[in-house]
Amino acid sequence: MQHNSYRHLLIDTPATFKIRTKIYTDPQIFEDELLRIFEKVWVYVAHESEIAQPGDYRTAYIGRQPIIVSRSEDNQIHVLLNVCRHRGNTICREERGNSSFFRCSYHGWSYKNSGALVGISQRNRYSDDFGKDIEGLIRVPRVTVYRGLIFASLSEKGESFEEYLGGVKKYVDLWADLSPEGKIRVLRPHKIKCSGNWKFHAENGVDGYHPRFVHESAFNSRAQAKGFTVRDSSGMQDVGCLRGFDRGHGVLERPGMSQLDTSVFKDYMDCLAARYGAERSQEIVAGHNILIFPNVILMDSNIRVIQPISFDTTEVYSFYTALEGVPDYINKERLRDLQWRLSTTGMILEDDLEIFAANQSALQASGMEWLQLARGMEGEVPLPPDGRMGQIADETTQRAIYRAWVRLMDGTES
Amino acid sequence: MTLTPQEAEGFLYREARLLDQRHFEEWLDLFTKDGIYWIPIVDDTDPEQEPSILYDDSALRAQRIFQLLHQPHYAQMPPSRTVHVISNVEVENGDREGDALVRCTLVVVEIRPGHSQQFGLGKQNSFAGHCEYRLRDERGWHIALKKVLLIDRDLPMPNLSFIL
Repeated sequence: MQHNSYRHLLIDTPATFKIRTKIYTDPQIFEDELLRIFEKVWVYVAHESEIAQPGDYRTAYIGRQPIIVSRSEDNQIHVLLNVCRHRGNTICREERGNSSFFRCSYHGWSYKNSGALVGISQRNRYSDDFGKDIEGLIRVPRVTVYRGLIFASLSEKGESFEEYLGGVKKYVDLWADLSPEGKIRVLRPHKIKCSGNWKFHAENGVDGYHPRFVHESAFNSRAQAKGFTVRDSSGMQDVGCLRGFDRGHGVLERPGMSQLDTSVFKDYMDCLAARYGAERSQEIVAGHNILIFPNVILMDSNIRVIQPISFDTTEVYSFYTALEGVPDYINKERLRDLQWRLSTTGMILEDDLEIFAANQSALQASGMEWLQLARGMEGEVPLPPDGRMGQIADETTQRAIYRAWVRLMDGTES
Repeated sequence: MTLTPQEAEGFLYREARLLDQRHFEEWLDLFTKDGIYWIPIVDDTDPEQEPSILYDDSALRAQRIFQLLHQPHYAQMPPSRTVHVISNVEVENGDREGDALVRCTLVVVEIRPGHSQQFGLGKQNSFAGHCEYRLRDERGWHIALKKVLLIDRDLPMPNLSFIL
């Protein structure tokens, strides 16, 4: 049974913002999310550097649909459904690799890495006309590459990627400019399997209210360890800001979020300033977490991809990004910083995941019908044409997510 | 000094006991000053260039243990109970006096007590891998490198906030 209306799951008045708790616990709502959000809007699928060479490919998912992202010999990027046109077998079971062809393991039908069908085995038992209407693997209809990020949409129609980005584009550009050459290389991801609905990840990646509570233990431990910069987390909620956008995207801006060694950071700033000038360099390193709704969060040194598995299970692939155009020791320091905070065993990440699990457990209490997301609602500043700005510990970014969520789930345009 | 198989086993069993009994500060003392604790995603990569599940030097290890023992670390509230099982121990003494390579297999069974309706609690998990220890004699054998190559290292991992 599909929900006919999602509008009633959100209360959005000038002073009140509430969402129904069942959006995290209802399996049917999860199914609708795959259909109406993940299979409709632009979603992040891979980074260009993962398929840098002709023949490189990697497999991924859009919602639940298996895809192959490949680069053919003519340097074109293809996003293809990972399913044989014959009888539906998985064409490629590897996570990544390099190949000119994909051959189905079931009956040997073969495809080029561009998706074109090039061989039907033992063709003599088919009619001469057979297969003329099968061009090859089914192409995901819309694909775009923006600053190295590959996005795709399973919907034939819809707004362009730049329209979809809206006001968050400026921050994606700042993020991409973290490299003086505007180029990054992503490496093997930290992969995490966690209990909790996928939306907790989207919400929390741009939440500035929780760190001083959830991450107090990590900050204290960091301060305690000798030889490290001591940081006082009590002032965390005074600096920075939030921006929420109509399509659900959000930006959390908190200076000093990453904690590079002071002298390395200075050298890094010199690299940036030489390329962009001092003023833009400051903007670039302002400490942005950027949610591109629904499935990717860009942080200082990683790309965090949210993979919904079921209503209460999510996988996250978090890709460390090595910057091109900076000396090796700067990337090493960025990796070291990422490792302790946000790797599979990151001292920040682990506590976030525990909270998501505890949220999911608690929301089985269906007697609790509404969640409160009204924090800082009245003090928000409009950011025309499609944004609003709030203080760092407000809930501007979560409200942006759910306004977009309801519109998409309801199938109504903004 | 060469390391005998019996000594190697004794060393590893003691480490397992310290971890199972949550004597983490004593565990820290098993390492050399420049000792590394490493859980790779891909074996034979350079952990300073490529991400790992865990890559701790002594400062990061101390930080991690401080969080485990003395802070409200939610991922460990309640803390994990573990059984570290060590087997298949093999010793290779190095060319240099006082260096030894010890290989073993490791199975860790872990549970955080609590009601199984609470995600993350009340469910027993198991982790398995091949370990490589580089031991160095510094007034007794110490760990210069502990590398744990999990069999599911490149797959999505659950809460790993205890010590493997």
